[in-house]
This record gives sequence, structure tokens and C-alpha cells, in this order.
Amino acid sequence: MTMIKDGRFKIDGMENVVINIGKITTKEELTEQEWEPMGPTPKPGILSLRNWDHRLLKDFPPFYAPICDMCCLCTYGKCDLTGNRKGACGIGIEAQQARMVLIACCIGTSAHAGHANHVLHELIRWHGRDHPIDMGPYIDVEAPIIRTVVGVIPKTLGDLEEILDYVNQQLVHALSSTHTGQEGSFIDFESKALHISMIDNLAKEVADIAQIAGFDFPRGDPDAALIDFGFGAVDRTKPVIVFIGHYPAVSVATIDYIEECDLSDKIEVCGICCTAIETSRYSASAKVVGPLSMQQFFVRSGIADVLVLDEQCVRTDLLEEAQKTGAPLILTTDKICYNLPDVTNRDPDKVVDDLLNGAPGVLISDPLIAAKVITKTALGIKPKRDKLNHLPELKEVQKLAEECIKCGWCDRACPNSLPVRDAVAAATEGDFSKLSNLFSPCMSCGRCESECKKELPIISMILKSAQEIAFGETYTMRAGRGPVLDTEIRKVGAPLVLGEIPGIVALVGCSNFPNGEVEVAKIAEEFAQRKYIVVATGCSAMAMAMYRCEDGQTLYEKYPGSFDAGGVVNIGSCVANAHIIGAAIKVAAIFARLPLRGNFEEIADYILNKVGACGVAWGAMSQKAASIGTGTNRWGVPVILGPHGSKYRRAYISNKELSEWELYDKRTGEVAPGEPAPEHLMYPAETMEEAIVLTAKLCIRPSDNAKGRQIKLSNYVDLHKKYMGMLPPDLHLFVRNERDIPITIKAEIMEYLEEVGWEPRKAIGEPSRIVPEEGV
Amino acid sequence: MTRAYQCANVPGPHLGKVGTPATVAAAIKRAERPVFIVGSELTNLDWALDIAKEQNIPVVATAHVAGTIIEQGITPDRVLGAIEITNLLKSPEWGGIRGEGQHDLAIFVDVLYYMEAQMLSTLKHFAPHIKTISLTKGHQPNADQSLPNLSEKKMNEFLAGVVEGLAEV
Repeated sequence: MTMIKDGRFKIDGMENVVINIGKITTKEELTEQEWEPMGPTPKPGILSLRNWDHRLLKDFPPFYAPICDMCCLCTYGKCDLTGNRKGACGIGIEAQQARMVLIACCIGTSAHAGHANHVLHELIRWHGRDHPIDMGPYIDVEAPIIRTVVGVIPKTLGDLEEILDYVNQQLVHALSSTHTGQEGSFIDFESKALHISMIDNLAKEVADIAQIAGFDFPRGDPDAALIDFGFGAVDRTKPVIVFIGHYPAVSVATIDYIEECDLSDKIEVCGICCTAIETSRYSASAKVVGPLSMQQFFVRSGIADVLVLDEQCVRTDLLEEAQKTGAPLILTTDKICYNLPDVTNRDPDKVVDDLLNGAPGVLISDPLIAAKVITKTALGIKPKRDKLNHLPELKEVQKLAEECIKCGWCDRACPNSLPVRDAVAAATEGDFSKLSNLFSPCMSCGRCESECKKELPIISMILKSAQEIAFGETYTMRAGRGPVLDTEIRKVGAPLVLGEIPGIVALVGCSNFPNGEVEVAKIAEEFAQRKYIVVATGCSAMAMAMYRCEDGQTLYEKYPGSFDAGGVVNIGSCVANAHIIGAAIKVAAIFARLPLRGNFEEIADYILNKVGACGVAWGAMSQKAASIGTGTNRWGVPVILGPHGSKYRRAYISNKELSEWELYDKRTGEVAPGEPAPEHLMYPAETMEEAIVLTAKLCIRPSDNAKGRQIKLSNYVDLHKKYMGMLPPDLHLFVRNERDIPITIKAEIMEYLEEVGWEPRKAIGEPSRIVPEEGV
Repeated sequence: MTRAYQCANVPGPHLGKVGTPATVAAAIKRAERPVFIVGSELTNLDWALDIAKEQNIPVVATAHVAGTIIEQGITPDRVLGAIEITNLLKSPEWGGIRGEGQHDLAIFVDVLYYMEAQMLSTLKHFAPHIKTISLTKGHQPNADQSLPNLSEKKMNEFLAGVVEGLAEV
């Protein structure tokens, strides 16, 4: 037999016979084919799940609140889009808002995908493409997002590269549709935003699976270590290295190098923002300073001897700020270069010499080399920096305050309109309490300073006035545990779907809080006490640590770290958000035994109608938070934003006074009148109290059994009374029949139901938004 | 030109007017179906509730303000999130708080400044059937009429002026 061309063979003596072999299937590929039949939408493109999006957007139409009335993206502009005006390209105000949302979601997705690419390629360099992905003995359904979206099970780090190829390809298509003269429909811009944000989930899962496999991070450990937390936790007698950002390869390499050099008890390693969480997943001796709202305060404090920046959410003026404290700055990725020299290929010892002799900072893109430079620089610079004073003395604060001309622009520049002017005025009288009181609600953004005509260092004045609170308090945070275990899902799957565990409350996102970190902790405490499963990631997981319950314990000390009723679970960093969606997917896979492979729509429909989960992004600030939230929505999980979230320009809210609710009952094959459960998909709340009440409501699902609905309504009614002083005015919409009414308040509720003319209705047996014969 | 209270909040070329007590009172008197939307800042809640009672204007309590209002022995006409009432106001087919038809004037009082700015933007763009007044502290350029940036004392004088204007026949 001879081969004519690729895969075509001719058999000698049989001139008219040609054998074609299209593809040779390996043993591994056969196993891959056997784990589950492929579903309808493996590696979906922008159009593949469009019908699902349109169904979601029918029930939860986009609500637009333009933050800018114009479009300035091309040279036709600026175009005024106010009201029903169109831009020169023909775009209207709604489509422009949706376009900006899509751009934000693409930016967010690319940040997570950038992180995933960075970390994966570095880990492949360290361990090789064949390094196995081992999620531990208690996780069989590993990579639930990858299974559902891509339709594969990654076995090695190399397998993850192929998934990132798909992510990168989808990003190109989604972002290209925002170019002038492409999409013109706001609904289809939204569909693309939902699509690319689902891709964001995928990129995050790739990133964290790579990190777990490559850095040996915890694999869903409910008893992950308690980490020392706060400014007060940092031992300032040692050289202090602070890592800021999200990409942990450098901090991990530095910890390894410090251990190799037997310096572990001589150097203090700490972090801010998600790098802090990641670093503490690697080493329990690493300290967490706080969420990104603490960034400017901590840098100004001068505690850090070396600042190491990687990527995302890092202040862009840290070179200038670091120089004020005499701390060298070391940049470690191509994302942040600050016009500093790339010294990756120079002799590390010479780089250290430069930094010790006054060079403000360098860029080193190889984590292993950076680790050496960081460690040696910290040891060398510490004695020099000990002589420096970094904050003004209180007398100086008073003197600075006397320069204030009381113009009040500081108050007006503040995102939260904090009373800065009055606080500065009080300091002129030697009363520093008002400045100190700003420490907790202030996000240390520095816009007050930027606006100040007298150039007062207001952030430093606040920090100095609050030094006892800022430097004195040490808290604890449970290290990010990573994915939820299959064993945990087996325990909670049924009670979650039936409503007997009233919901999963996921506190996620950044720290642009309207009233400081404390509100996130209070939300968590409210729901942990009520036996919801409280999970947290990123800055919210850190913000929750900065609070003590009445008994003096932190939330992480008081509540267990297991994914169970009453647990307070730190899942991990921003990229670990993927595991929260992953847990909801695993409920569908493990409890309902639904196939995951390439089966997005059925899984999302299941989650939307049956898994009572609600995200709360109380301090959502970034484009990443936009894609995290929007991706969460596509999987069928509603998200509540803090009031600053209204500036994202778009919400997804239903209108129960104007809309009919229709669901499909898979059991009877009928279309049935439904209920607004969940009522909204993306909702900015004005206050914490409103968010708490709404969270309880958005955990209600059509699949709740009577006992589950009683538990959920009991919480909703109780919280509404507690914070609103009355019964919920929409209670009748969630009572299907008398069996749903909590027994302890039955008389009161029945009286209300009679008043509003309530009629009982049938609960839907198998609620779905997909009508099979029509599709969505 | 009066700048927005949060000074970077510059929406675009179409900016509302700085109201006076007389123009605010005239707009309220002229409206057939006004509605008060009171929010979480609580600075001028009592003033708004008094005017609402005197002028028979329905009150929507946003956020968790209902609790505070009920403590005063008053029940708000509706409890809705700021975004929920804004969504209803932008729908021409909505029958209004009392079922008498869509409102023609929305008076915002004490909704969180930057969130109110967003809600006013929605109504500016998508609800040509409704006029808006903001009596929340600080100038809101997305409202048809809004306060100038005033001290607490001047603000109280302004609101007293609105009361006087409403009392005039």
C-alpha cells in the first residue's frame, strides 16, 4: 500500500481502490469522546447562544442610564446622542450605551485572559506542557465551565493553552463588533456582552486551574489557613515587600527564593488586592494588607520597603508615590511599564545596586530573576529607609489644615461626597477625630487632593489622624480555598434546589464601596446568621475581614469555611469567581445529573430557574467587575451592584407592573404563568439595607418546594420588616398557595393576601425558559 | 454656568436649568400628576412629606427610606428602588402611582447624588413625557430644574421659598 497524498492510500494490485483516512483517533481521544456525548454548542461563537440571550433580555430588558450623552470614538464626533438624536454613523443612545458596556466587558475579559495567558505560559515554562491538572480527591467534576462551554476536560497545562486560543479568538470577534459601523442593535450588543462575559468566566477558570495545578494552591480546602490581615499584621521591624495586583508568579517565586536563602524569618511578605489573596494561598505566613481601597493609604504609610506591581487595578501613579517614600518600585509584567527600563537581562546584582543607589524602579519580566532582585533590594534598602519619616506629625497636619481656604471642592471631588472640608477645618482646632473618621469610608482614591487648590496631602492627613485604628488593628482572613468540592455539592444540591437552604450569596467585586468596607461584612453576617451559604472573592473577601462581630471574632473566625448553610467561604481572588459559577453548574451536574458537555443553554436555564444564588458586587468599580457580573447573568444568576454600579450605564431589570411572567413547565409540557423569581438580573441598589432585602428576594426560584419557599419567604418578610418597617408590598407574587406561607406569620400574611385579592396558583413542576418546540 | 455638585459629572450639551423657588413652585403647580421620589440621604425628608401632604402628591420611598417614613406615622404611597421607579416613569403606558395616568413631573429629593444623576439621565433621554426637578443637595445637570450648589442655610431658605410660592394663588 502506498500513500498518494495526506491520508489517501492506494492498494497495490487494486488500481481502482483508494482508501481515505480522515483522522486517526488516539486512545486518549477515544476516552475523551466517551465521557459524555457532545452537546449542541461546544465552543459557541457569538451567534450560537444568541437565542438564549434574547430570551433573557425579554424577561430582563436592559435599562440604560447614560453617564455621557455623547460618542467620542471616531473623528465624525463628538456626536450628541441626547434623546432620539443619532450620531454621524447612525448610532442612537441605547445602542451606544450597550456598545460601551460591550467594550467594558471586552476590557474586563481581556484582563482576566491576559492574567490566564501570563500565568499559564509561566507555569508551562516552570513545569512543562504535560504537567498534570490534579484537583484533588474530592473533585471529579473539575473545570465545570470548560466542560460546559468548550466541551473538553483539560488534563494538563498544555490542554489549557487550546482553551485560551478559543478565548482569544472570541475576544477578537466581540471587540471588533464595537468598531464604527458594525452592530447597531442594543439587544445584539447586549448579546455580545453576555457572550464575551461568559468567555470571561472561562478565562478565569483557566487561570485558577492553572494556578492550583502549578502553584499547588488549596484544592477546595474548607479549613484553609487563617491569615493575619491588616496594616497592624505587618511586622515593620523586618524589611517589608508588598505585592500589588493580581498575578502571583512573582510573589510565589519570591517566597521560594526567600526560603531557599533561609531568610523566611527575616523578611516580611505582604500583599494588596488579589495578589495578596493568591500569595496567602501559597504561603500562610504572607500577610494581607487589604483590598485595593487600602492601596494609597498603605503606600503613603511608608511601611513597604519595596513595592512590586504586577497587573490590574494598580494605581497608575505609584511610581510617583513610591518615590515620595524612598521605596524602589519593581514592575513585573508588560501590562505596567511606567517608562522604566527593562532590566530582565541585566546582572541582577547590578540592578540591586542601582536600586539601592536611588534608581526609582525597574521592569523585570522574568519572575525568577525579579524574585532575587526584590529580596536583595528589600534587605539592602531597609536600613536606609528606617531614617525616613513618611507621614506628617499631628502638629504638621494641623499646620497643613490651617492652609485650607474652605472652598469645599474636596467634598465635591469625592466620589462619595465625604465631608472632607469640615474634617480639615476641625483639624485646625486640634480636633483630628473627623479626619480619623474618614479613614473607614474613604477609598483613598485621592481625588480630593487632585482638586485641592492648596495641594494639601489629604490622604496622608487622614491616615496620620487615624493611625491608631489603621496601624493598631489586626484581623484574620481565611485563605482562598479554591473550588467547591463535589462532596459539598452532594450535600447541599437538593436543599439548594428545593429552597431548604435559602440561597447562595456571593459577595464579589472591587472595593468602591459607598460607605466603606464594613457594609460588605454586615451583608455577609446577615446571611450567614440566616443559614445562607455566603461565598466571597477578591476585594470583597478582604473587606469582609476588616470587621469584628459583637463577640469580637472576625467573620472568618466565627463561621466555618465549608460550602454549606451558614458557611462564610473565601473562594479566592477575582479569577476564583469562576468557581462560584462552577458550583452552580455542579449542582446541575451532580444533583440533577444533567450533561455538561457543550450544553450551555440547558445548564444556564437550570441555574436560572432552580439554583437560588445571588451575586452582590457592592463595590463594583472596574471593567473586570462589568464582565464578571454580566457573565454571571448569562449563567442565570442575578447580581446586585452598589449604587456606584449605576454608572455602568446599564442594568437588567424586569418590570413586574407591566410584564407578564411566563415559564414553561417541562413536566406538563405547558406554558404556565410564572412569578418574578428572580425579579431582576442586574440591579444597582441605593443602600446596603435595600441590597440585603433584595438579596433575599432574588434567591427565590420557581423550583422551591413548599418548605423551601416558606424558608425563603420567612427571610424576605423578616428582612423587609427589619429594614423597611413593613410587609413586602409584592409578597403576594411569591405565594403560590397557602403551603408556601411561613407558619409563624401565617395569620398576618393571610390578612395581607386577602386585602390584595390574592388567588392561589399552581407551582410549576419543572420550570424552564426554554420551550422545546419553539426554542428560546 | 453652574457646575454639577460632583464636579466631573458633565453629561453633554443639553443641561438643565438652575431653578429658583418661584420656578420650582410654578412647575409643581403646573403639573397635573406630579410624584415625589424620596431617597436615602434624608436631609429634606420632612419638607418633602409636608409638601406632598399639602399638595396631595404621591410619595415613592426608595432604598430603605420607607422604614423612616413609617416611624413618623406616614405610609409612603409606594416602596420601590430608585431604578424601579425610574423604569416605570420612562414607560408611557404606565398608569402612575394612583392609576390615574403616567406622571408628568418627577421631583427627586435626597436620592444618593450620583445615583440620582443616573436616574435623571434615563428620564432625560428616554422619557420626553416627563419633566424632572431635583431638590437633592447639589446641582444636577440632568434634571430639567435643579438646585444651585447651596450651603445648608441657603438650601433651607430655597425650600422655604418653594413653600411660599406654592401658597401663592
